Amino acid sequence: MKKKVISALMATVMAAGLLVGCGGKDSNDASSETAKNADGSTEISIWVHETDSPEGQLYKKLIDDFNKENEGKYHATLTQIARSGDAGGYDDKINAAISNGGLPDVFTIDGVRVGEFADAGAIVPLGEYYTEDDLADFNPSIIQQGTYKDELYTVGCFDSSVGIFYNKDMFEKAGITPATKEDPWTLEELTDAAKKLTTDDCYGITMSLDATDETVIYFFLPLIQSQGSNVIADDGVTAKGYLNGDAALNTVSWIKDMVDNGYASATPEENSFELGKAAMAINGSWAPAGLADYDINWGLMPMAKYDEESEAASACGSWTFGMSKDCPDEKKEAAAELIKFMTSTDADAQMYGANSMPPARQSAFDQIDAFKEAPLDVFQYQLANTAQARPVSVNYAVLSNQFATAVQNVLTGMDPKEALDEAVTQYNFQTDTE
Amino acid sequence: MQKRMSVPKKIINYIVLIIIALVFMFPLIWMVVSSFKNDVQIFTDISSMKAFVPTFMEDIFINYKQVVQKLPLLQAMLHSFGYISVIILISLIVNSMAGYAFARLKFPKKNLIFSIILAVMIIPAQTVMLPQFSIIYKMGFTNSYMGLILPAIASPMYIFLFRQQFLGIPESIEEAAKLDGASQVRIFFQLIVPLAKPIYATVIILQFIALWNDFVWPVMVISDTSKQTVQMALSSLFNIKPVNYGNVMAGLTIVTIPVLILFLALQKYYVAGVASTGAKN
Amino acid sequence: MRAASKQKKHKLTKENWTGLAFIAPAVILLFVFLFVPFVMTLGYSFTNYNILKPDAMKFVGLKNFIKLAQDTVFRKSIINTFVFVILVVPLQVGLGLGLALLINKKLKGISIFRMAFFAPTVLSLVVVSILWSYIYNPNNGLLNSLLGSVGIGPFKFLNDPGTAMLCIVILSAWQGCGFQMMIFLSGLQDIPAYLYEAAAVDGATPFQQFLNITLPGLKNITTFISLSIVVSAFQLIVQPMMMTGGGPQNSTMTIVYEIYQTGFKYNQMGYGSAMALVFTVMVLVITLIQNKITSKSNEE
Repeated sequence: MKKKVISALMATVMAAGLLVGCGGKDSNDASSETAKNADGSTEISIWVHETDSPEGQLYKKLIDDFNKENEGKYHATLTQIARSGDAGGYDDKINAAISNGGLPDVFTIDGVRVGEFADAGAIVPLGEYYTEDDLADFNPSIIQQGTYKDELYTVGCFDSSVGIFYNKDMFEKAGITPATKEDPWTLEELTDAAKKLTTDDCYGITMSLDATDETVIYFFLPLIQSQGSNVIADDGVTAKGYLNGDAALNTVSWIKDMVDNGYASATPEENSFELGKAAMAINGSWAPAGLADYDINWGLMPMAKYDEESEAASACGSWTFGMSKDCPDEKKEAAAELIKFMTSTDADAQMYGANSMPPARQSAFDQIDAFKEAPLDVFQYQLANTAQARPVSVNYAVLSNQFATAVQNVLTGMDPKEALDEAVTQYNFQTDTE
Repeated sequence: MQKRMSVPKKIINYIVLIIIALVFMFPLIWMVVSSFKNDVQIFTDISSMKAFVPTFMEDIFINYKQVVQKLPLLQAMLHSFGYISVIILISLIVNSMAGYAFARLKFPKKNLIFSIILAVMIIPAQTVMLPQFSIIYKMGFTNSYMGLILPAIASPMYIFLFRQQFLGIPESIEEAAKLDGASQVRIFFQLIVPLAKPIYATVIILQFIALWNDFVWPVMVISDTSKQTVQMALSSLFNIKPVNYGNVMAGLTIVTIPVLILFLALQKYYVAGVASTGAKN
Repeated sequence: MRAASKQKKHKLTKENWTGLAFIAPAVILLFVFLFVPFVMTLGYSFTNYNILKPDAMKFVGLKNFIKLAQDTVFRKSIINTFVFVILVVPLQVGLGLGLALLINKKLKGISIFRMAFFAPTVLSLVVVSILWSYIYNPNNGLLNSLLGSVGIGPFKFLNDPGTAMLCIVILSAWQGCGFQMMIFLSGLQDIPAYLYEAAAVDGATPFQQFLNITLPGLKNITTFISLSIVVSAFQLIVQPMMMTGGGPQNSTMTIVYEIYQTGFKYNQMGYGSAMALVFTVMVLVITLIQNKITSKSNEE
């Protein structure tokens, strides 16, 4: 009996071994093989990064709607892929599909990775499928985020924004008038307010300074952009003079001063604004959904600008849809129709109900009352007027990481100039840039 | 032979054990206690001992109800339990047989092969993930539990562990059986395996936990959400912004229960008399 | 000895065949799913493989290794990894053995305590790491409020380049020692009871019994435990990834974290593989030395 088990086992293992031996080069996967279904419809595959969340369920519903609407013409098959907070899992699966084949016709891409994917030729341009009028309806920053070397590669069906949340009661007590959406505070005004609001058991502002990830550049890049600069040159490669330029230095120095003066914590406690332990919070458009649970009277101001001379700038960006290089020519039209469907005004407006993120289109904003009045009107205003995408660069991951590292280094005692110079050195080294 | 422990000694023993137990238990306690709170309470209490004191909401099990409603968690647990059982069953046989061969049997190039096995133990999983996937892909095992099972069976770590354990069993026990003409296969399965039950129990626990908590590999292999594993199902909880920590804690508590049950079920293999160790204090 | 094995080459005995059959399933599986992928990875280290551009892969000779020699962060991460290993291994082995001895008793409800000691290992490292970053929070973390109540601190813990790695060491030992406890426990079961009985008759103190019976009895298991902890300690990644991002000031950057970041976040699989190759050779040499030492002391 036991011998039988063993020999059966051995046989399985041997068979597995043989398979590898004869595997050889693999032809590209199923996606490209059968273009048409039995009912004559064109079959397209799509991968998304959400599974059982409300957003994931909406993707499922949207695909069903698409299939119903295009019966006999197109048919999309959805694959939902789990991910950890930083997209681990999903990214790994995409990477594996790129090197082995098996990439779907359409897949979602985090907006900040568009540069990498476009540069690698893993996605193809979408511009020709959208009319100019249609593109004009999107938030300008959505187009900016999806454009690499003058070609539009991806389009999103929602956006994000960052503002300064404030505790109305504390503002009233301290006699502070909040900024309006059209006229954001300068850093000086923000610092003054934070100073007034700081007490023994309450920080003036919390800015998620314990973050060591993407959050850092997402929150603070607008302060650099506000000075008319960036962390990288327009060529998308050169960081020297930008990542360690004056604008970046001013911004990082300001962060350091806020902490040194005790107006903000380098290691804020979780939810300190919600719990009344900070009077203001730099936070994203996902925050209001959580604030509802807390007993707090809050308002929203736009992201601060650097000084009186500088322009307002604000953060944005989201997941987007792209068409893969493996999508065969005869399916491109169908794939484009699917992407257009997923990024339509209608889908966009529904997305707000699923993940409470601001829409990617102005026409979708018009359908949602919440964005027409305070406090959320700030987000709508920012996305229409001041939002600037993060750099669309093939080296974005290195850039973002080095900026976050520099900020963290400064907050743990390093000189700002030295930290930013080191960031440039590391960036150049990692990316083989001179 | 053994003296019964005196009562004061017993009490001291218990006090020491309880203190140490608390040091090791607190994250579990925090997790379970927090699963009965809402987020406001969790973060209000986080900086003090109140974190370990339950404050019951009107609907005590609301987090649990929400999690079960939001996620196909129970179904995913069944999937995980199924494929992990298969892995462990085969892994115990395969790895312990190899361990036994390295400990006792003579065959050519034994030391060389064993050294290579020790060497592959060093390889960090992250560095081989992508080529590993290519192999699974070429075998056609993507989106199938085979893709999860096959690579997880053989483990240098467990082979090594079994070998070390078998080395400790006195050879005299086998000699007698050999003289009686028993085959190596029989000696192993009928004599050695029963003697080494604790190590089998240990490997079951270690491997179960490692596989139960695995996330990235199942995501790469399994595409079909109807086949998803525990950690895949659980991951959604962390992605819904803002994260609902009450739900997260309830979800974590639910998926931890099977591990604890397994642990308790295997306890009987660890029962040791005072006499067998002598470490009486 | 040599000659004997050479003679046998042509004629394998029955025992030889049994031995080969016993290891065959494991060896084949390891070969296919671990060895082959690893050799592939090593191959990448001589290429410019970008994970998003597999088609553009080309041979670049030793370029990656030359770059590696100049990589200051990689050098730092090697040092950090060694510091971690040197600190965590004795701590974790000691804790594991201590707990195992403490729990190996006939007391009512002992299995509950055993489960309690094992509890940290039940949760995934990701969850435990997130939890400990709350505990270590300098502003309102549990640890500072506890230490504060006895008049020590406050400390910056993870936020101070001087203490961040130490914090990770403590968390790791605390989290992992339950595993070692279980393995020591199963080793303890194998020590024959009569040895202790005889020693007790001879009037040996419990400490003498521990030195002369328990420790030698655990010899084989201790070899396994120390080697396996060294190996897994070298692979440290989850804790710094979740808690510090490798900082502050690279003080918690480790080799495997660096490999992961380079290969999967920066897409530079070729360069990351070169790191993996260097890492493997390094650990291999160390474990070989360690194995030599322990097997020598075993022979004595």
